[in-house]
Amino acid sequence: MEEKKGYAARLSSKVFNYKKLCMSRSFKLHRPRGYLCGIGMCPNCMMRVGGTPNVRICTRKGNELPEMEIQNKLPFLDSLDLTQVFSRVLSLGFQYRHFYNSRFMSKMFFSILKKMAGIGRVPSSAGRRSAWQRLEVDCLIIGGGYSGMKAALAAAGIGDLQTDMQSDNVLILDSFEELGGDFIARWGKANPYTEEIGLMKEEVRSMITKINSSRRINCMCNCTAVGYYKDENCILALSEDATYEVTAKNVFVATGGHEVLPIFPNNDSPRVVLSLGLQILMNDSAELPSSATVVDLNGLGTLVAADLIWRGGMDSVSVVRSGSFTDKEEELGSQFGVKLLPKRIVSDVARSGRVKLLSLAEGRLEKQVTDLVVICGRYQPNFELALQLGLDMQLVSEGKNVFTVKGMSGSKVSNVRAVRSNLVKDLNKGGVHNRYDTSLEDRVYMDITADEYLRRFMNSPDSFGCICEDVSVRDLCISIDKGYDNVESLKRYTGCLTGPCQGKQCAMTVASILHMKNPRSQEFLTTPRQPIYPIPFSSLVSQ
Amino acid sequence: MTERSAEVLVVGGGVVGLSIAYNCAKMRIGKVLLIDKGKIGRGASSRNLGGVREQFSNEPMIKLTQYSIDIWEKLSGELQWNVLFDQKGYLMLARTEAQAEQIHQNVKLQNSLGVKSVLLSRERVLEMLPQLKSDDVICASFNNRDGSVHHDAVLWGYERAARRMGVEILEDVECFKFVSSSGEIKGTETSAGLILAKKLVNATGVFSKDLAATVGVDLPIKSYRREVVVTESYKHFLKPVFWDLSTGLLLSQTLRGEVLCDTRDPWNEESRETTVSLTFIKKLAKELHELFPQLTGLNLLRQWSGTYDVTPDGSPILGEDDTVKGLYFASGFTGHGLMVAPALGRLFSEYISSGKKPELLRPFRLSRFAEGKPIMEPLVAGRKLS
Repeated sequence: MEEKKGYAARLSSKVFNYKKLCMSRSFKLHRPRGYLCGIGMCPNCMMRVGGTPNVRICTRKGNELPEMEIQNKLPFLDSLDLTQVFSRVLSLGFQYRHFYNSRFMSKMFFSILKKMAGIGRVPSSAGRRSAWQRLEVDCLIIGGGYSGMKAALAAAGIGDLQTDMQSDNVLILDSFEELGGDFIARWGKANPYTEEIGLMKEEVRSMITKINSSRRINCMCNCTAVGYYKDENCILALSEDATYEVTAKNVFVATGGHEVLPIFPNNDSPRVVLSLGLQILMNDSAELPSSATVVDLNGLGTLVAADLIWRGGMDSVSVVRSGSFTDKEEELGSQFGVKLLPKRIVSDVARSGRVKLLSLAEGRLEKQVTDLVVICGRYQPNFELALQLGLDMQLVSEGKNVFTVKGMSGSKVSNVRAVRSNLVKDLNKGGVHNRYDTSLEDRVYMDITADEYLRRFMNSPDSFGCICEDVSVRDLCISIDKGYDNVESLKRYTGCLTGPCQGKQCAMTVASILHMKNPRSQEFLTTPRQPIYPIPFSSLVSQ
Repeated sequence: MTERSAEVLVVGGGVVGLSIAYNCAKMRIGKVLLIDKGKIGRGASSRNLGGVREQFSNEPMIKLTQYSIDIWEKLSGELQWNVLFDQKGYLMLARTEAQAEQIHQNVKLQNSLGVKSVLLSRERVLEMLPQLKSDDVICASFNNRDGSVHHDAVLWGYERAARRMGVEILEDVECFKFVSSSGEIKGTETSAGLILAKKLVNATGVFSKDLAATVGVDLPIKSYRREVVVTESYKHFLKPVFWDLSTGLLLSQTLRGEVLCDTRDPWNEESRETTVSLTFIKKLAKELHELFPQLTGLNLLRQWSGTYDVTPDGSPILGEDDTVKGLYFASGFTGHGLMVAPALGRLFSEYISSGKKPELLRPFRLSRFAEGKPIMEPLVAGRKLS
């Protein structure tokens, strides 16, 4: 097992063009969609690449640009705005409420549906088969971010933390091309704007060096764990050309979280990009535009704006937040020439790039024109593997619209531990950690202002809760009112949580709306099915 | 706790239970109560592939499914809810001489009973399935009237119609044991107290055996896990439901463009687990690679599993019990519950109201095993009958 390091840039960075942002067309309403998450957590960059349909180009790498094609393109629909038609005439679930009296009409309806449905065309040739390998390790760490590395060093007995094991066979699986997780993907190539970032960067770098020089720890980067299989007691992991069945005596789940899209009208516009996705594009030196509006929902806004200016060389960057800014942030803003716009929320993003901001204090609309709207979104924990491995994890509502993950520290399974906090203090108690910095914790799993957005735009037909299946927040609310008021039936009725992203963009939104409409609801999550990320059948056929 | 009572009590809120409850209420038999230990339709009813066919290999099952498809064709109108019954056809592929012989005989029998199934030559099969790349295709049987339904739509349709007809539905009420005295059913003990009933329908799938045992009836039902896989959504390329008799590979593209894939259970062990396995998807991928190499480029989106209530002969156990009067079974469907549910609703409501056993149900009595008259049905997707 050799560590593979960044060989080629992502395809997305080569085709990203801020003037022609459309990378795909949405499933139901044929809406243009563009680059969003950058880490395979959304359906937006699925394109046909060299005869293979539904390829997420943000995770595919290559030195040469293959033949690429936008899928689901129906030119005669391009100029129509189906959203308005659908929301007024053809409401969600209309397929159940129409055409039932006549078999002829029903047949006609099916044949139209079959012509329209589907994303990619069938592949033109067989998929590439993978080399199949079985691995047995003492200790498996899933996720090579800050906490994963901390856990790996502790498990190998060379870190500053102690565990009950002294293993000389530790394996780290990470889906990025180098260790360090989000932190390296975001700030690895950035200027350490603040003292905290500088310190963390130093610590992360020293951990990476320690791990790379240790014989006890192996790393498999560019390798994604896609599910735990109880019958075979193994974790399935996939890299570009190999499939691994990993069996481990001890497992640490340190999968962290990912940013998700907030709710506002036209939040699915191709101009909207998640901040980590954009920072990854910058790492790959993609061509970036000259202006951006950063929408801050997780407290990273000012830093991301500074990063855009420092690395992307943008002329005009502003940060929008529903709360106010701290002195430290204002200082950073003036240092980089970032415009700070407190007490405002985004109320529309037009295709032309005109952004409407609603000033919360005065209640009036301000307009500005921008090339990109960068979302520093709320984080959704990557809880799928933890749940599959049997960890006692729940999403618990803490009033309002704030959710935390409870029970990650307790475990039903003795040899599996979850590692969650960015700064882990004690691994022996199954990942129990002390809070080092509560604001960081809040930043990751809670959301300070999404409530404001949700409350205001709950009835808007073009604010999307689920972008895979084009389900608006209004659709979700109406469905809940119709009696589909638990997560299982809501999923079945609306199709949210079942699209190509399997709930990675919508799980928190659905939970929030459910909680808002029905404060007594307790269950917010559905069973996370294997595989966690879609995998081609060919990766399961050994060479 | 108040004591409840009903004329007809249906235990099990799957599609079969709902259909029976709805039809009983429609016949105005009296108060109809339906209980489920969880939520409506969370068992096998919402975990299946939604296939509906009348291509079976024995007379009783062909007649029953024929009647069922007659109802399916008009069901959406009756329920005022589109259950999305798409008659896209069902194709069974033979790749060995023995299978070819088997489907020849089946088609002959089906045709003699009025089913318009046809035999397709190798060329016709390859024409219908351009992605099929296999040298040993011999022939296939095909029926235009078969197809698939959207299982959730069916559940909602029946549930809504049942409530409209005045069926009382109690969710989260678990049935612990049936109560009988002097050879007659009295009711059932549940987590919501005793419920009295004159007629009781046991439609609890794999749990039917346990509940029947509480009144001393032994149902020869075993439960097996059945795994299913669905892909991402693709433009329509697969018209009929495809089933390969050799490997058990089954493919069906839904109206949304997702491809449901399934193959024979590699574990073959009794189980009520609903976990999924790597062995299964590896087997599936291998078979897909053999038959449809192009389709290995499809992305597997998610896997799930449900349970099959399997009888020794592969046919269901339907009708009133001989020893406990008023206790009706609708179990042991071996994966064919959804497709016959509309027929069972009609037949059971007639049965319960008139007390006369409908002709179509007669062969499916429990005593057939003791009498040595099993209804052997080898055409079971996902299983090889021992």
